[in-house]
Amino acid sequence: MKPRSSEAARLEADYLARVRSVLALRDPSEVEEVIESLREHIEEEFLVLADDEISLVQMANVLERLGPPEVYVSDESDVSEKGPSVSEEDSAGGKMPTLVPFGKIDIGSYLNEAIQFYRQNFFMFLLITVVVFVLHICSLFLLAGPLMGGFLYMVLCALRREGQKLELGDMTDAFCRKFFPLLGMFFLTLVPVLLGYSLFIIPGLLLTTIWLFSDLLMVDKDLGILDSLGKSFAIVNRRGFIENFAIAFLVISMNCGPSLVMSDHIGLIISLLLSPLGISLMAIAYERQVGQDTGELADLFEGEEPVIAATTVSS
Amino acid sequence: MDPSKWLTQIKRGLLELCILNLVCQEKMYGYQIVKRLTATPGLVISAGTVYPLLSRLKREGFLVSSLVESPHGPARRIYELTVDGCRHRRGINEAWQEISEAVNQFIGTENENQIQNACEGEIVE
Repeated sequence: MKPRSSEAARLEADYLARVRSVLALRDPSEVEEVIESLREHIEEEFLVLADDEISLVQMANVLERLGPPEVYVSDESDVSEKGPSVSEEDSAGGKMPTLVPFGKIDIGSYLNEAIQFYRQNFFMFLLITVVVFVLHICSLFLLAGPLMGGFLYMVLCALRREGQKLELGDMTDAFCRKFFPLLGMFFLTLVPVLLGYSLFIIPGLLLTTIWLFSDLLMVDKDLGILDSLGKSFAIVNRRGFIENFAIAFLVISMNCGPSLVMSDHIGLIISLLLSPLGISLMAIAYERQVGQDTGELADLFEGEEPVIAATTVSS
Repeated sequence: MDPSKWLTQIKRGLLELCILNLVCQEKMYGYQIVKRLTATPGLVISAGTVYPLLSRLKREGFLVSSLVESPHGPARRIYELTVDGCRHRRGINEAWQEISEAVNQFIGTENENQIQNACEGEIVE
């Protein structure tokens, strides 16, 4: 594979992730085939290139010729055949890409991506959810924070990995590495959140929204408790509070909704089945808004390096 | 209806016909098919529309693909027509010929002039 500049790799990864998202409701094997074909296509395009490294502009031009991700469903729906707008010129006279910003919130596409990811890892998710649930019960929910952090980190790593397969090792890594901070953050936020939910739900949902990314920030960016909580609040506000409120609502509905509405075993089983989807949605929202940030959040993370590189996402 | 939208709908259907006819002539890999189609001036398609269509044609049993090592770069997915694909190609080729002949009767030069005159008359009225 021809080497790419980090920006070109990001652009390519983002494009493929968006294609995946657009095709999320199709058969996973079909989606994989299209993605593989696109990778082959992109490689073929660069075969004749003499440069050692593929630049951002070269990558943007190839992706522009492929068309916007929406055209991949165009044999079923009515979509414009316009390519992504590539209009501005850089100082070298080349075209600068103006694809949809990495952080733009599109809840539908997040959800589609989460559904596809869940389907792809269904049995592994099922197994891990049951194990985590048993550990929750056995530890009287004392381990809820570290388990949640580990679970989210495992999903995030899988999203960034080739093939997007879950690996239990990622969960145990985050669980052990950030055990005490995750434990501390869980207990610090537990009381206000529970209090908020007891006051007609909305205050609880608001707190869940502002702390939506705190676990992920802690395990991904290696932040402390207060830093994670504060930065999560800042990110949610910058990216769009209302949209993230809707995401938090969906996550909570999937994780707890069925067991609250149906106070029997069926509700619990449905909750257990849906909670991995909620967790995937949360991790995808984080990845799209934070992991693939193109610089809008740079001031928040000055001098901090992520534990895992986001440039390999969904490739 | 916007003519460009109408054209897009028409092209979608015809793309399948073009791909089946292309692959019938020789085995081709995805990139090659895309290049041939995008280089044809009248078609004006995004390369991205071709890959899902190839995947669908494969799923429907009209094409099969196999990975073949390439001397220049990544392994290539070579597509070829199946027996069903050959039959389907013949069917849609015939259908297309019938339709295009029928439609051409309405857009022939003589008719076109009459229609044009009639349209202009309506506009004046």
